[in-house]
Amino acid sequence: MKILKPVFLFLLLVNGFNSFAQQGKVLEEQSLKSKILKRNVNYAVYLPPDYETANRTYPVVYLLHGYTDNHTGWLQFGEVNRYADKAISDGTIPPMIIVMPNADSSWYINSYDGKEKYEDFFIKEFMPYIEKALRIKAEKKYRGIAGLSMGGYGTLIYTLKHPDLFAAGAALSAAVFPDDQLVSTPDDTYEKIFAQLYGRGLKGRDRVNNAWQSNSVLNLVQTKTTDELKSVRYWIDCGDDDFLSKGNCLLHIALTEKNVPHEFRMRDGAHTWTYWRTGITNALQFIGDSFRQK
Amino acid sequence: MSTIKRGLLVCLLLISANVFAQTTGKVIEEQYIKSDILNHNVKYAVYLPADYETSNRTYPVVYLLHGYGDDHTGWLQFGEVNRYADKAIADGTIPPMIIVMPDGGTSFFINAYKDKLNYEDFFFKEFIPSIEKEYRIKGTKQYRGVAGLSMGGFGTLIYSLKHPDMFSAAAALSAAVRNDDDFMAIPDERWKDVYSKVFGPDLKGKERLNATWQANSILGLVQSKTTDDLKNVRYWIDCGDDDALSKGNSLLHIALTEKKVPHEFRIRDGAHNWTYWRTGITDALAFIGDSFRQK
Repeated sequence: MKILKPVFLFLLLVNGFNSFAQQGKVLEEQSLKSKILKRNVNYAVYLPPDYETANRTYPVVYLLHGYTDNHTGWLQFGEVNRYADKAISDGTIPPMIIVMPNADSSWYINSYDGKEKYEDFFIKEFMPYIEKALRIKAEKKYRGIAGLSMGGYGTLIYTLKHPDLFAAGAALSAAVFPDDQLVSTPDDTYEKIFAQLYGRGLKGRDRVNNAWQSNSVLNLVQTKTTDELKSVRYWIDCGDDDFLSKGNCLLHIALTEKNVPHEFRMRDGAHTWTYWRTGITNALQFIGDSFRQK
Repeated sequence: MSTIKRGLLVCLLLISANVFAQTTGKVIEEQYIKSDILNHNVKYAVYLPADYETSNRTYPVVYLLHGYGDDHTGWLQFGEVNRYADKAIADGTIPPMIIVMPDGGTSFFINAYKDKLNYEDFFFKEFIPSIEKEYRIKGTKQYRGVAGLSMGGFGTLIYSLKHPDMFSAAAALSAAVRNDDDFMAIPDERWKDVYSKVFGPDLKGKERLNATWQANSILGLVQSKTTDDLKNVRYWIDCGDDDALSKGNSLLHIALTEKKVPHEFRIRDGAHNWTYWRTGITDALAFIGDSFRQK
């Protein structure tokens, strides 16, 4: 009889560890060979807690990093695995796979001179590869995309240009620039960050060229029809003290004037990880509403 | 033994009754002030904080302005501002304050075209002095805030922009802010019902951008004032993402940002309704309260 007590205690401890092990699995140093980019591209993956033990396919969110971050940013600074674990565990979001590719400083688009075709890589190589490598439900209904800053820009560009691919997009502090903001960017900043994307050595209004127009969030919203735009559900979130809040407000105004339903939030804060960590759960929840039908 | 026990129980009950009796403020709903400027009585309501009667102190004041179609009772009946203030004062979210709610009719709180109804003059020359004599109010800029919803949000911004020497903080909820284009685009029927008595009857297109509008356009005033003028008041601007006025409020945020005027801007989930204002009033009063008690 005396043996039973310690045995019970032992079993309790073992089971206790199991019930706390509701964590997803993070794979941080994955890579694939890209023919389009002619190099390996690193990516990280978050797999939900029951991925190994269940025999099911999952919805996916492509989560894009900001300028100067890489495929580990959302994990190291964003702690997205922790937020996803908690949200899945308490039912705030349905189980989902989160994929975080490294985009360097490509801004997720095809550069004006064709030297860096990141958008082609992402749509034609990366997505098909990922959706075969992992048990993902490969259809629009179960595909979401999200990101911060440069990744928010990527989120909006991809959903606006490929509305057939994604059900929902969540852009946090997205780098949305009205034409005049690009025009008035100091020359050294333009050369360092944007020249390789839209055209080198351009000053003033010369920067508002075709490469820019076809990759300007506000211009894309302007030129598309309400029906095209309504094809994707949008979550747009930016801090009131963020230098990008102007562009995000103009985006909200543009979508409203086109009668495109969307969610717009402006919270207390600036262009910081605090803002993104406190925003990612609601963003994933918004996307999750597409996955499990609100 | 049981007599002592009973006695103790009664004492306990009496004490707890007293503890619970100190937590609600006093609402006086049907006050009025005679106005020579407007040539009629103007009704107002007052919220006095819980310790007003029992303490001997003066208080900061918030002038809380209602929306189009409401009156001096709107913020109490629909906004339940007394309940939110009670709770916020009790848990320390806001310092004790007096809240005054005048009936603004359909005046948009400004002087109408051709001096037909000079509400703004009434408010500053008659109402504030009278109120601040009637109640134990501190009576200086530092301890004076203004807030409101919709038409009252418009009034809040107009007053703080035009009289920055009077208020330390302003909180505008779903304020009626429009740029020139949207003001011109108001449908004629709506213009007739709502705006004609304030800005002028039968005005179309550019005619609407008359002297009354120029003197009372929020975005125009921000444009024409200096950063130093504007920094004189702390601003809290809050509007729902599904509210049509979120456009004007966004443009206001952009304008203040470009002029480098620090301010708080919030866009939450919601539209032009009382749920939005009830869930927003505590934060708005807390923001103003930060001026009263020094953050």
